[in-house]
Amino acid sequence: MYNTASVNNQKWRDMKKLLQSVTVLSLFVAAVFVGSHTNAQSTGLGVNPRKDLTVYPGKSVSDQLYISNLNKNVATKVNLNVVDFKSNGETGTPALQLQENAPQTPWSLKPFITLPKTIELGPGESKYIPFSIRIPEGQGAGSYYSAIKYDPQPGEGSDTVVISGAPSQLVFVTVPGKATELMNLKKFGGYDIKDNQENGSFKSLYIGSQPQKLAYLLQNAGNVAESPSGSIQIKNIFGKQVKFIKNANPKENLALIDQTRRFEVCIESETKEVKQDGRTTKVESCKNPGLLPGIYRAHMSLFYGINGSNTQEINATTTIWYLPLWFIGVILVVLAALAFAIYKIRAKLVGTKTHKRKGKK
Amino acid sequence: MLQKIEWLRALKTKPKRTAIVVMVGVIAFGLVWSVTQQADAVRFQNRGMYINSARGGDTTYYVISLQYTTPANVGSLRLEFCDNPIPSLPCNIPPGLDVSSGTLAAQSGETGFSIGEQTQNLIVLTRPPSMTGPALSSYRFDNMHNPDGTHQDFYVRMTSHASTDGSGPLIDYGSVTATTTPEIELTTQVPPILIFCVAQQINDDDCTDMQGNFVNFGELTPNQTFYTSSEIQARTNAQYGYSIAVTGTTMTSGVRAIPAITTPTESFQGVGQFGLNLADNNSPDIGANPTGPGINGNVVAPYNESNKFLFNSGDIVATSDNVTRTRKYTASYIVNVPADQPPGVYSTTITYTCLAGF
Repeated sequence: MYNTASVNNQKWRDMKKLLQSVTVLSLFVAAVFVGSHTNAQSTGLGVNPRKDLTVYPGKSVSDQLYISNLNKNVATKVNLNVVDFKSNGETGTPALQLQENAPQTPWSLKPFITLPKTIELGPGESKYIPFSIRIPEGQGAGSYYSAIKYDPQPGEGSDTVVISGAPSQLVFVTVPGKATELMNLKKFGGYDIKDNQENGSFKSLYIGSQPQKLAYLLQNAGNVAESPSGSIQIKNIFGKQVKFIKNANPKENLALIDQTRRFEVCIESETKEVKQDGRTTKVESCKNPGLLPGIYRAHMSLFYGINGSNTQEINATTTIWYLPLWFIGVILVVLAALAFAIYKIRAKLVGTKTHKRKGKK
Repeated sequence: MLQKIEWLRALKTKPKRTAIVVMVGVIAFGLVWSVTQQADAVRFQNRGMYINSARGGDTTYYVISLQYTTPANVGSLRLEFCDNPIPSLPCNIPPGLDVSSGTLAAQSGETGFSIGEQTQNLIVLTRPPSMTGPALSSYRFDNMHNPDGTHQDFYVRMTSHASTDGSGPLIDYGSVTATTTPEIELTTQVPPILIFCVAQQINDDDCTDMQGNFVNFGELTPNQTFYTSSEIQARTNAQYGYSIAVTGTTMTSGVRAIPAITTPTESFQGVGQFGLNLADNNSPDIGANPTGPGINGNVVAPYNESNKFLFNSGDIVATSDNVTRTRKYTASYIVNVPADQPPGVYSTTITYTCLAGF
């Protein structure tokens, strides 16, 4: 009995040990699971959105990419992928070439850029990642550009939609020299676009409201991503300048290679300084230009050309009619009054003549 | 008075002739106005400028090249450095620019020039007047001081004259443009930043507190629409704004797939469908319109249509066109399966890519 009890006690102790071991193992497994699960947590990243560099043929430039893991609780691994992009319509929205078999674009930076494939970031950690761009001797002048896509390493799941967020940075490199630069003006005129719409419409007759914005379409047929500069003068029907737009491309927008890009500019603008994330940025918005009703001509002089290449010039003129309804109403009333006056005078004259004829009879 | 009365009588007796005279007058005025407005003078051909170091504030050399268009006796070439290219407008000196110490170091094509007059933003080249030819001419100026700042556009207004001092009637004219662009970006203030996060749930404006990197539909059956949602948040202080693209595949299990909706379509039970939108829906009741102060961040059509879903890899789903404060978008996903959908574990990875504009 004692022995049996002793054996039972021994069994109980063994079982207890086993239970303890299982519990410890379970906790360990759970910890590993939680760890891997945590590793697959969603990430928030902060990056510099764009970088513009000038690199001469035969030279290289070393610089740094900034990346910050915003999640203060979870470490993350991020893959750095160079992806080509093209334009997406008339706007400044890039279209990443993410298809597996997407051919390399003629303006791709892929052959010239060197950067690490993967980086690790601790919770809340920010890093500067060194990278370099080398342009070989004899490389033609022009623009070369791609995007650096920061892909957090994917998590896992079953029966699920795994979601991932990848911010990207556009990198533009200008290689100075004699480049092929050609932009064709496709349209220039008054432009109406509603807030939050991608596209608006060109127009020359304004009835409901004053023209606030001009726009022009440039087709880039060269090998440089062009940022034209220049001015626009608006003159009234008598040739007197009533508005002057000093900078016809205030946001320094680019027309990518092969793109037909729309550039928009306010006739009269107000500039606000917006402070955000430690940076002050000037934001321009259109306001009522205070034009009187009438016919106006806008004369635009645009210039483009990279350093060392010929300066190209585009000149264009457009006519804008601003005839608000109240003005049309006033004109109609004046014309009606004039017609009435002529009618009355005519009636009087005819009456006088009839009287004279009657008198003669 | 009598004359006026006669004229008014003429209106009555000769209305057609009067109308024709008025119309011809209006058309003639319009034509004369158009022609005079569009008149152009002769510009230099193949004009350009090379700056050896384009960094703002550097002292470097410039090479200005041009082709004289009009064969004529030219005695001077006037080069005026301004902040705008239009000759009829006042010439303001680009901030920081100084060419008063510039020297003419080399010349080719039309030669024999020396500097006749020089100020902070003006150089007049002079020579005994002689006939110009069609060759490309270039002039190198040493010791030129660039305007300050990065991305500072400036222009050289050029005119040729028969006189030797840059005065009198111009023969050819034209402007060249240049921009101060650093070889390596100079950081004059905090560089722009793009903040972006994607999660099942985002709990703060700074993307520091988030939950989940997947969304689950549960077990799929043909008589029910399954739906779920995730959140996307972005902000930038860059003037070009951002765009958000969605990429991935439809839900698959090995070689079996649930068809993606490729045009905006409502949810239909019993039909194979996988799609998403970023709108506030009531059929099924899921999703929300964008929230947050970054009101210029917007969902792009057709992903903004309530109760209509689609999924095309590579589509842009949201954009902003300027500096944009925090904006949170809710992505809603739906899936429907037909009765004959082969059983399996269906899954996919959806990636939202956020890019700056240009």
